[in-house]
Amino acid sequence: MISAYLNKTTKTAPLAVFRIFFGLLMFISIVRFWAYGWIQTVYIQPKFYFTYYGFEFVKPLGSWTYLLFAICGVSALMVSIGYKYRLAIIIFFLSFTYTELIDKTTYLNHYYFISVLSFVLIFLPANCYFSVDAYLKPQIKANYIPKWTIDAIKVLLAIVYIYAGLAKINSDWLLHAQPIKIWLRTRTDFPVIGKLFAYNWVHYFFSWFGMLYDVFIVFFLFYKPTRKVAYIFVAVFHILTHLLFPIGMFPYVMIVSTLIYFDASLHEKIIIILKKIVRLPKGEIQENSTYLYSKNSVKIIAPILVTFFMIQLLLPWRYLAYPGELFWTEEGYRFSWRVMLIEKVGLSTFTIVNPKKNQRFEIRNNDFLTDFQIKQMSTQPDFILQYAYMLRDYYTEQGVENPEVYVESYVTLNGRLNTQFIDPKINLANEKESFAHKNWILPFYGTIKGL
Amino acid sequence: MKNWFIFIAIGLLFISCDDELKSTEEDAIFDRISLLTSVADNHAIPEYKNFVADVSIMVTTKNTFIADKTEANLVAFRNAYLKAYTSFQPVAKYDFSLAQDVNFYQNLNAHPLRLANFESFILNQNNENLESVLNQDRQGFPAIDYLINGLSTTDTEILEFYTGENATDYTTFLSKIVDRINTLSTNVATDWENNLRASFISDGAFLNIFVNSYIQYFEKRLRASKIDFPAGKFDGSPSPEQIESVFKPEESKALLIEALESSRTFYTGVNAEADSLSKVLITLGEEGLDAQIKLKFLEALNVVNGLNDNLKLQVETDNTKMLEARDALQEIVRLLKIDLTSKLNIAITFQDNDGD
Repeated sequence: MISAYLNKTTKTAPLAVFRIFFGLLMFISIVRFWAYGWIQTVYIQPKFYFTYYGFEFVKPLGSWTYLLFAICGVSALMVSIGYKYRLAIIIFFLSFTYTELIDKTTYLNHYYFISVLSFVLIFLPANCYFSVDAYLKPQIKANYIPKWTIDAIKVLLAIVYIYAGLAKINSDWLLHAQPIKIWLRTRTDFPVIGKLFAYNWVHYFFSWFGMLYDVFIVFFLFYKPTRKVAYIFVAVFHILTHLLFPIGMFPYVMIVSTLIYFDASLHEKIIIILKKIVRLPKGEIQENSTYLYSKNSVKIIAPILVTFFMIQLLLPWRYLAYPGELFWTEEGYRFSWRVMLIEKVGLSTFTIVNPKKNQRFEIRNNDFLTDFQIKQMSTQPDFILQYAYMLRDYYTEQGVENPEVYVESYVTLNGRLNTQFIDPKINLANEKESFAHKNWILPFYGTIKGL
Repeated sequence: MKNWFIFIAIGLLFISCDDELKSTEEDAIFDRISLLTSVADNHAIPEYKNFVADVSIMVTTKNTFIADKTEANLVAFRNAYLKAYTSFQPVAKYDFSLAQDVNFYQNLNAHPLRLANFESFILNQNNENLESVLNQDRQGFPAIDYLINGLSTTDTEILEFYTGENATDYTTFLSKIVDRINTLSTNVATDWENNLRASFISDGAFLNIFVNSYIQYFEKRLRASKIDFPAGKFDGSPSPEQIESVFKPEESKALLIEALESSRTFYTGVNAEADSLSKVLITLGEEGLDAQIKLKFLEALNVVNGLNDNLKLQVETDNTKMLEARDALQEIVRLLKIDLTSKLNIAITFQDNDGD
């Protein structure tokens, strides 16, 4: 049965269209990031970077970051037009992922999504149709490809949506409409529908609709009779979130990506339109040919992709291995498609104690971190520990022997009054970073039930 | 499978829900424009008017003193200066638009005054540019404080600076910095009424701006400058010379109280009907947070009132009381910076970026 499935073929057009739009959107994202001056403020200005545990070797590149972005942008364009596709998508994946790994302050699920998606694309024959590669080397042209290649993208999108939906099945989201309530009720000046945001039922409607949308939308996209209506929902939903929340390019990425669920006939029409736009001859329609993976490449690709999808399915559940409330400790929170789930604000002030002189003084975070870093650091224990290490090392260098680092940290979660977050009596300079539970995170006073 | 998910979700409805989130279950119209109008018309504009009037009296008494350098005129000027310094406290919290562009706060109240080579600065004032950012801590109220309180211990001796060999330089300099306060204040106050008000009460984005400015002021200028630095919070060793009004330190607590009182009024509103941050929280059903903030303001006032009128003396004799005052203020900072901003969905940082 498995081999029968693997031998199934489908038209290439959807994958080609996906490649074109994905590359183009990534190129626009890079230009946008650059134009906003964020390369400077996020990757060059900070004096200190919060690296990911295990990825400490990833270093900021200073002014060379511009080159990294340039490489990333050019490779995205190459992906789009399908020129030296395999090389381009590998470079895109590496340069994009490297950038993300420099500082976890900028972690966003949608950046992670781009990384995993471009990783999968490395193994797919997205350049064998309507691409520069296929034009230069007609022998690679194929208007049929193995069906699983397109299914791989569909499944990845399904994982993103469904896990995002499951994460919303919790009491804060469904029973208190938090944090949607906090985000909407002050937006009554929003055009046309703003007045509605004052109403309690609207907050519940948005919460429940958001959860149901995320959990079920891919099923309606898979199922042909509901597909068109579902796609209208996709477009409206993502445009609305784009207008309401500062979530950058993500809505467009999803609107374009979900086109993959449609039949090839739609994509063939899109390609005809694209041909008109770039003034290519309408003709061609080559004889039927199918892209086949060589036996050797299957031997490599199959285990990689199987492992990859297993990880994708399991990683979001790793939070179950930690005690305490996930939204509070955020242990096992990232890389799990938990999108827009929590409204968290914190204030963390650090005190250095010089044990020899019995002297203590407070740190002003602005001396070491950017506003954006301070905001992220204040509510996330792994940031707090990393920052404490940095302070310890800095003051050791300044001549303080064995400086002790303490934090007064207070956090509000989804509208609850702030409570103390980290044990203020713990000398963070002595605590070890690991995947184990951090027992100096104070317990969460409250209950959030659900997944 | 779909049914299974719905089942879980609906099942959750029947699980008894926790009580810490119950407060906010009502419909609530959040009216930015009404709040902004109140901030402009009940707080900023009257406070600026009041300040500018006091500054203008300070200018007049200064001119009288310059024309006739008597001890009586010096005392009259000193009183006017103190009154202006006091009514400056409330307007310090609006650090945006023109006030920000002209570095209003920094030019008027950068303390401690940079005393190194200050005399030669005064004697060579024609080569110095008071508008330069490098000279912000050479002017403003702290400089006047020095010129009328700090030059010597008695009024007779202080007068000698304005009648002795460098009299022209001292007199001109005093006049210059008083007039500069007058110009800056009049400009900012006029701009508020004739220009800023119109956009402030029509553009909802000002909510974010004024709340940020208010919290920044409270944390960095009220708490840190007036208390933390003199108490040595950031380096472990107290430096009493950093207090406000350091050359007449017995006035320092009064200035602090004025700043704290005006911050409190700003939060609670000028009266029960007027719109304010407090009223907004109540409208949104956040009575608990509102009560907390009000309580912490009262507690902080209580602690601050217990300090010596002379904060310099307080630091020198019993700094722990200063640190206690700081902790009381920090509790307000915490509620404003964490809870208020979260409930009003206000980003505390202006560094923009995408979220998800």
